[in-house]
Amino acid sequence: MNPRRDRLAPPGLGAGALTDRVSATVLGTRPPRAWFVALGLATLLSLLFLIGVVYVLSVGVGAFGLNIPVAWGFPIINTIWWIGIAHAGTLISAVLWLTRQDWRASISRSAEAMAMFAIVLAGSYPLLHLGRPQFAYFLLPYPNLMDLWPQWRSPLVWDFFAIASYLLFTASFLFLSLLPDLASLRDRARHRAVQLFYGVLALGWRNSARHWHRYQQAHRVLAVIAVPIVVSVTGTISLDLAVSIVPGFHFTIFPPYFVAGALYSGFATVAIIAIMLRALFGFRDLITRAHLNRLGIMMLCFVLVVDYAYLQEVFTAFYTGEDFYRSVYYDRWTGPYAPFYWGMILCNVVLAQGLWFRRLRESVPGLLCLAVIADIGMWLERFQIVITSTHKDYMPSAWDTVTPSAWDWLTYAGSIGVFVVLLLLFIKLMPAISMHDMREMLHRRKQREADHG
Amino acid sequence: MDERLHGLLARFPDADRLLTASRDFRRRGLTRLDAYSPHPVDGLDQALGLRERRVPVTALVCAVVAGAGALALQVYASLDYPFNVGGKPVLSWPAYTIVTFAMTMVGATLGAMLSMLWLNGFPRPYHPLFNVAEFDAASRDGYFLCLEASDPLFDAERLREHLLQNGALWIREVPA
Repeated sequence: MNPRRDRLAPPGLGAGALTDRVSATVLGTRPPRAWFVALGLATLLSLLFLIGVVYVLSVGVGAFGLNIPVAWGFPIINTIWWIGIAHAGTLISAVLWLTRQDWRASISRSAEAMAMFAIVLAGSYPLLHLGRPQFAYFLLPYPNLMDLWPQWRSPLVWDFFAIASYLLFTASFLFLSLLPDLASLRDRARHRAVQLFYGVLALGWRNSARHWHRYQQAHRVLAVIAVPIVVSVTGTISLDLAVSIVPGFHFTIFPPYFVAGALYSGFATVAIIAIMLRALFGFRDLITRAHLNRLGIMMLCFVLVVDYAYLQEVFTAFYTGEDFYRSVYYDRWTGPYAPFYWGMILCNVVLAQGLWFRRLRESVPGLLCLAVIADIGMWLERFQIVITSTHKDYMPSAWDTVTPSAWDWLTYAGSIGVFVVLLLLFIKLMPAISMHDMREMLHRRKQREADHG
Repeated sequence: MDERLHGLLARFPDADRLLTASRDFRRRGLTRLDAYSPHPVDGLDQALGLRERRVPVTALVCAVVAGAGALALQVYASLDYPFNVGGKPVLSWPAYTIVTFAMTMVGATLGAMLSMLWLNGFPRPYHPLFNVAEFDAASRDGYFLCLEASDPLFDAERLREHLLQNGALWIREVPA
């Protein structure tokens, strides 16, 4: 491989220069104008979410295009989509750390922040879908006068625990990785108020060998438990569907298939954010084409698993010999939601093959297009799984089609706005690139060079 | 004078010198010393004689306690209010594994995070080292060694010489 083309950081970049550069994006006087424009647009978009939430809570979930037999609709589609996006953040920050991948250093921070905000949005949809979110605590086991307990055999209770524990894990992991960087910002800050702000958050971190010793132990523990968490959270959500007996839901392949799709859309979103950081802060030499190439390779790996699962699902449906399973597929191919199915095939099976070409993976517009296609394709996949399976199950008397309402679309678009707002504020308040991870990576590089030369 | 001194702070040019200096002072029998580096340095913890494993052990204990607690709660709840769904057994243990697993992860996460913060003495708003202006570089590209005055073998004059022999760039007295 050409070492020049595969460069992860500029040659001769030292830890000091790197720290100054990254902390300047936080402590510097003014963010670039593009940041203000993006924040303004995203804030307008996020207002739709606010309006949607207020409207749905005041008139009830009927405002969404939900009806029997399709009781889940957009809220659950979006939950699965958002939680999937979160997974790549965990994989990058933990699994790629365990496998000592140097290229994760400069994108791990934005991936972790992405995971955090995606989980918050994923968690907000089931609350909205309850219709009466003030009763969400019914899912918790607590002593009550009616002597009732949660139904432990219910996947909805599993979901609650899976998402809540994932949220806690991601928040801890994000804070852990921020801690040494907050100390860097505290030491660089010149204004008293800024020093106090980062100083309080840094909790008194002094970069002592004792601190690092325990820090690394805690980091290792979290990274190791991240491995089962990555595969279990979306796996648990897929059980909402798979443990039911609805044809189109009842497949044992669902957990791994959902996880692969989750990671595919997650890596796509990390690629979009990496491209955004390059454009906003000029990090083109820290988040290089070699990083984009690797993100593209990860997307390719997981989309191939997803494609295999599509094939396997169709095979299983026909191999069972059951009319109901087959009719789900005839309906997906030719029924009222066929455009969604074929749209999904176009995005995830046909266009995704562009990821095979290194020239496309390394080109910024090329990868950006492929990443947006991946996110759209995965959303269409979640749509066709949730909607087509229930709208036409066993009894023809129970068949019906539902149409998403304007509130569905407005709230969904608004939630993307909320995500972008949170991310833009985060990269202004916190270092968008993990400084201590980069310093460690540069240190290792220097040692390797010393060994070889 | 020694009573008003926190210790001697020396800056080293790179991680390797810091590592050899730390080993050297440990070998001389000093116990109250700490090294500061902008990133974790391989071997620095052994050089300073850090062998504690309290963080992973706490995480393991918390994980087991939280997981066992979650499982016990589900079993208790199922017996306390037996609920027949489709003739499934009252104790449907396979269904309990997911909540048990999630709570095990919660236990491990909280155990690792909180024990790390607790053992490191966080939050700690004040430390004498923060009075040294140049110490800011510890979070940038500086490698420091601090020999603390509370060490029984502390002798400022002699240690100053040893620090310079080990390649220290400069030495500061840190007021307590």
